[in-house]
Amino acid sequence: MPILEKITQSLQARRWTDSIPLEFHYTAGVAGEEFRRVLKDSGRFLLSKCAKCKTTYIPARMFCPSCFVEMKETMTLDEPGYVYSYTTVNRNRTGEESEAVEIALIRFDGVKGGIVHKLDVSDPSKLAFGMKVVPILKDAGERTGALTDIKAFRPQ
Amino acid sequence: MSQKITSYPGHEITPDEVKEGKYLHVIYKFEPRYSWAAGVAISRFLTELKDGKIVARKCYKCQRILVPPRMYCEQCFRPTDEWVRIKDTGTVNTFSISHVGTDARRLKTPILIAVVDIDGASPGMGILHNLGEVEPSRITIGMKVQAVWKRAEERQGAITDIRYFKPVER
Amino acid sequence: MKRRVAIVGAGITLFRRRMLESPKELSFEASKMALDSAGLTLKDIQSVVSGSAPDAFDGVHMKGEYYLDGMGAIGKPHQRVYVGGGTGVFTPVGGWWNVASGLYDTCLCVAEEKMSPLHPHPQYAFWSIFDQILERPLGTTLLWIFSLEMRRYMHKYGIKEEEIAEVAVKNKGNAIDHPSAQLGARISVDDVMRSEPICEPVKRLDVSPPSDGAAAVILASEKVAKKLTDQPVWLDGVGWTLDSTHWTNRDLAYPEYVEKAAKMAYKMAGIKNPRKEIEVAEPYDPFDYKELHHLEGLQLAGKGEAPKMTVDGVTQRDGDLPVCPSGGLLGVGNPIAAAGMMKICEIFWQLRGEAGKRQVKKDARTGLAQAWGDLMQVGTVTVMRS
Repeated sequence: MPILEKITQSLQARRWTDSIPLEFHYTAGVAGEEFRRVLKDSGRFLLSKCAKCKTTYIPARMFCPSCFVEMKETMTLDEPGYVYSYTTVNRNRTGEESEAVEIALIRFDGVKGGIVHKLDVSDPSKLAFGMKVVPILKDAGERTGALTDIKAFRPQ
Repeated sequence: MSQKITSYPGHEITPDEVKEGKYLHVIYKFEPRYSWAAGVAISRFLTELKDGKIVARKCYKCQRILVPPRMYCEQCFRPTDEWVRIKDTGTVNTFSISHVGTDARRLKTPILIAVVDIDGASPGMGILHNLGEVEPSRITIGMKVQAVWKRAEERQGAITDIRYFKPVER
Repeated sequence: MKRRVAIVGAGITLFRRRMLESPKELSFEASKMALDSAGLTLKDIQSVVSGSAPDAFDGVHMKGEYYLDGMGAIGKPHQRVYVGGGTGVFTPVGGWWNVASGLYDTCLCVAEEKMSPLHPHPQYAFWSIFDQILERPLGTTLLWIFSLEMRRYMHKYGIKEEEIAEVAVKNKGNAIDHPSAQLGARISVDDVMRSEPICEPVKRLDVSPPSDGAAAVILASEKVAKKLTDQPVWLDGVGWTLDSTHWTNRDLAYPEYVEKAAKMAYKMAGIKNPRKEIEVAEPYDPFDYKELHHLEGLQLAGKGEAPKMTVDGVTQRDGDLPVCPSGGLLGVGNPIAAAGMMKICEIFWQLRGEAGKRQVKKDARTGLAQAWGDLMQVGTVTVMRS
């Protein structure tokens, strides 16, 4: 049986407005901390390798999710990445029109994982799957260890 | 097994180390905003508060008079039947003196809070509110209190239309 | 068809105010330790149940989906259970459903909590559990409900703050022997009474701290458990009950929902006289008075009688009913969900005689772990036997 009284005039329907302000200070974790230090100090990517299944992961991780063992071996990446997929975004987070930006999921040969970032391509018609890209880094003094230490990726 | 293991996993760090930048961190703020529908029962409750009155809801089956009012009795699991205006006086069921605010920082003036069983509702039907015009050391469980309302033109239809409950003068 | 379920391994990380590990890494460390202790690898685990309290602490929405790689749950059936503070004991209950129903033979149960990212203080996340229209505008904090409940409990039975402080002294002292403990220390009733009032009658040393940490257990069916170990700990009784959020309409001096959850677990485990048959207990103690409140709800003490039991030493490790031999939340720490799981791990180790310096004097064969939470509304109880 439903409730016996309903609101029939819209003015009687009250609402309460408020917000829930939240502030987070995230640290990156044991492996994440190392990854970010290497990015900050040398501008390179740190990878982890599983001794059991030999898979290499980017970014560096503490454990291999398949073998469920700790990964102690790390190495830095020297090769460029390639564009696994890309798209053009012209809306912001609240849905309003914004300046068009090319973003891509960038992967690396022989490595599991990838990095999502902006693409800086002077001629968007040249964008192609598999295109080789390298990061454009901020100056060492400006880097903080965040992925924004890379301004964007550009064709090699 | 616990006595056979010599070291337990984990790396401790301190909040100060993070603040000082020993560990890289990212600060992220966001503030979701809400416009909550008060619903049938509370819409009426708030409208009555704006009028300087407290309203409750009665269930004919268990005969309880419920405050805060609700359109269904959660014990009998059936719709409630009637609005009942109850008094704005009550008894202190329990109370506390809070020295910290919502963000865990110490307050200069402590807040006095209580669960007040409202007269006219069933026994034990309390609402949460503040106490005022009373020395903290003189608050007792069982103390009779009276609502102190905002002026009519300041009332908006909110729980804060009652400023606080104060002891009834005897 | 209901089958018998056993706990065959347990693992726990350090509990600290802030840990470097990310949520995935914390989960991995606890899960790996549990697997190693049972002699199992991830391939042997058929399902995963995880427990973690508000997403707002870790700061990642839908965090069950986020941390699951650290629990080896990629590509596996995974459920997240959540009842606020009751989650830690509810997690193995969820695991029990998986195994007792015959659906799976093994289940990894992990509880993880990372409270440190929320700034300025983790307590802030609790503010949003209150009624948005009738309670939040008054500036509520979580401490309000505890202090109001503590005051009512003290008033109804004429209990003094000093008697309640004995629980903090006992638990923090017990925690010195727990390797993961955040706040193990030798304190006195006087120290508690003199610590600064936060929300009277609650004082600083009456409260457990916010923490980061994770803990895990492995559940197995009878057939598998007997192959893995000659000391399985049987999860013989589970119970859980919730009350409404209309907490201002409730008798705050007695947790009726804990009683109902306990009776459910006792019935399943065939326990007729809890006080005599439960030999070691880990009730939930985020505040010192809560241990007493819960002992009464669990029928392990008469109404209003738990303080006397504590003062008389009955609940010490060498007493007739040792309570919180681990050091509880007050001593070990309170990463909300992981804290309840810490209690499960403790009973597991106690019933196998593996608790080292924390081992209770009597030869305990039946133990109980209980958690509580939400807006003072849930009781979750497990009864274990060796």
